[in-house]
Amino acid sequence: MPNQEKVTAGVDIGSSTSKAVILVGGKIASYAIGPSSVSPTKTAHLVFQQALSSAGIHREQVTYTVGTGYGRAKVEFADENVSEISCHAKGAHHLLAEVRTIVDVGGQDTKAISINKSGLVMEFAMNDKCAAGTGRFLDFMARSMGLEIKDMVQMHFQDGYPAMISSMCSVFAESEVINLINEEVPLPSIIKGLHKSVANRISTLIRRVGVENEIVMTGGVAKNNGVVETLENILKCRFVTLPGNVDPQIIGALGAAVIGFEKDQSLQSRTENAGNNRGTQQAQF
Amino acid sequence: MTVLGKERAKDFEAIYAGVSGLLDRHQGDPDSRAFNAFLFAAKMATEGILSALDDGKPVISYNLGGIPELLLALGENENEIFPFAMEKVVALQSLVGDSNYNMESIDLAEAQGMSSDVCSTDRATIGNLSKKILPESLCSVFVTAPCDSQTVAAESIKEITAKDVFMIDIPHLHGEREINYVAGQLKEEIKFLEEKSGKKLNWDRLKEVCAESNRMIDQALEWLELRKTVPCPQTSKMLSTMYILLQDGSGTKGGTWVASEFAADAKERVLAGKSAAPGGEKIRAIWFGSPTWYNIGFYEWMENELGMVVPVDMFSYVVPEMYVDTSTPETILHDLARKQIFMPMGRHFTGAPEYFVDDLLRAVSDYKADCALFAGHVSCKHAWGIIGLLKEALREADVPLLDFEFDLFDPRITSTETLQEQFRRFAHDVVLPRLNR
Repeated sequence: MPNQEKVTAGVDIGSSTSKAVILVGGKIASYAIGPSSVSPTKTAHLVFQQALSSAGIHREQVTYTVGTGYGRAKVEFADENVSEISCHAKGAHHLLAEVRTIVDVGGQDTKAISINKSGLVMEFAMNDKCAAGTGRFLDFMARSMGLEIKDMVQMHFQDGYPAMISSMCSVFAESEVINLINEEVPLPSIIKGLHKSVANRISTLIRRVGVENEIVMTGGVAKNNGVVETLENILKCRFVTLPGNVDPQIIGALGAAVIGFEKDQSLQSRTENAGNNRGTQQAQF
Repeated sequence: MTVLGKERAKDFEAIYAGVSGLLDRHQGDPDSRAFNAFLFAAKMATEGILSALDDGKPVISYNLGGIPELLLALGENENEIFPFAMEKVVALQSLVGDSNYNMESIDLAEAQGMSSDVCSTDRATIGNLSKKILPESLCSVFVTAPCDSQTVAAESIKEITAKDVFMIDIPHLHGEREINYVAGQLKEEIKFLEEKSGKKLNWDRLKEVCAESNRMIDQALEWLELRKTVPCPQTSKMLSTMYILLQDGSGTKGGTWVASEFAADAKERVLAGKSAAPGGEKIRAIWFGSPTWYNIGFYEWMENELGMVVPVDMFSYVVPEMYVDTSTPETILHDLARKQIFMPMGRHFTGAPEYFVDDLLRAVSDYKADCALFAGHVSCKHAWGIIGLLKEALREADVPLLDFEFDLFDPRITSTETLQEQFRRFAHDVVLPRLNR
């Protein structure tokens, strides 16, 4: 089968959501996003199956699968596991070769990744032991205010100054939010304050690896335009937009699928070379 | 005040038993020749402390960053004074695997008002002084290197011991003018030591002591040359011991012997084609900053699990500027001043950022390293202060860098497990993909 028709997959099992991407000939054929459950193994099967069905592809047609994310070790059908840092770098570089800085804000952790022109990771910084500056922080706060995340995004663009949320810790910030509500501070102000708190935290991580253009934001929080706008203002830069309306939440899974595609090509090339060498030897002797 | 007491002797006996136990355990291990030499030296050093205490020999303490040559040359006869490197106890406690002991000393110092920003080495030493386990000194000699914590520690030690402290100011730059400035202070130090000890400096002995120091530097430089071999022949953990050797063993036959064992072991292993990484060397990394003294086994984990070896680190970065010309008293003082300024860690932490950055870049090139590790001890604010410049320089040189925060003696700041995870990610996500290994 020619390379263009090769089917590879990436499965990203995150703390909040899980994602799967199917590539056919190195191009996105389909993807699926679903909530993560208490069983990463079941979640992996489910989200993978959804992506396969969406592309009309049978599991047997997939030649190489790479697992990534928090639960990557539980993607039992994967050919290999690769860390989410490498996968986000690969996914972003695959779509945008000019990108040098990637900020991935997921449910449980936030990563700032610096890559070189070849897409190799130069440096990374991450917060993986604290909810501050992650999607989980915003989930907590939305719950405290009885809102959905999508309502928060909408309200961010209403009039009002950002309220002061001095704590980055989700536990203390929740208390602050409750106090602000009791003081009848308008919700848009509280939401802007929360987004500023998250963006401040993310910006310190990005500065650790250095702000080098072009910058792209990935992960679920990249879909929150309120956070994106606040972060852009803090960093005094504009994030590049992913081409073709690609969902920023699937970049890790996409990178995993691309790594799978490259591995598959490399394996095939080695097999062909071995075959050619055998042929040469046979001809000689 | 008296600091002689049963509690102290008990503590040193525990260290002695620990070091002896380690030595017994590793005695028959052919892969442990260099480390055994260091353990033997640690055992001898502990014996030295115990007999100094038993014999009531006069002790003069000196601090992290100091060198003992002048102290070794005091008096008509050999060994009239016992030079005591105060922080040695903290290192020895870590060596025998008792982090709790150091944590208790650190907490004690903090409870007495020592700022938690001060280096844990100094906090633990102040705690040890408060516990009255350190030998009583006639006086102390301090240098303002490797870092500002030394100044704070000197003040505290002066207060706790009620004994005079002579402080040598190590200047910011490292040129001839600065060397002469330190040499001038050494002359003052000699007067101070003679007055406090009642013993004259024996210049002939100082010449012999410095000649012995030079022999140790010979061995250390040969050892480092051998460690440039690919694959690196000898375990990375040996590097962190070189600083203690320089600080404590300079000018002594024992110190030279240990350094010669380091070199002989490295040579033997190079000839046998042995690698520090049992499964094969995959990554060569330059470790700049403090070592993980609270868990010296971390280096073996790096070698075993990641195939990552450290051919040279900041603590072991011995340079030819540390030789002493023994021709005249003037050349001796001049070169001892230069050695003091060029001591590893002191040279890197007391001075312009270039000393740190340039040495690291040179090490990457000389030792054919694939990456650099900035081991950011939390109290090393002078080092953290240049992290931006360091990153910029390494990025320009296309050298990947892992910077991590930890405390060299206190595992409560960053646990071994957290460090391991950071190292795994760095190896697998950053370095190995570049090397295609």
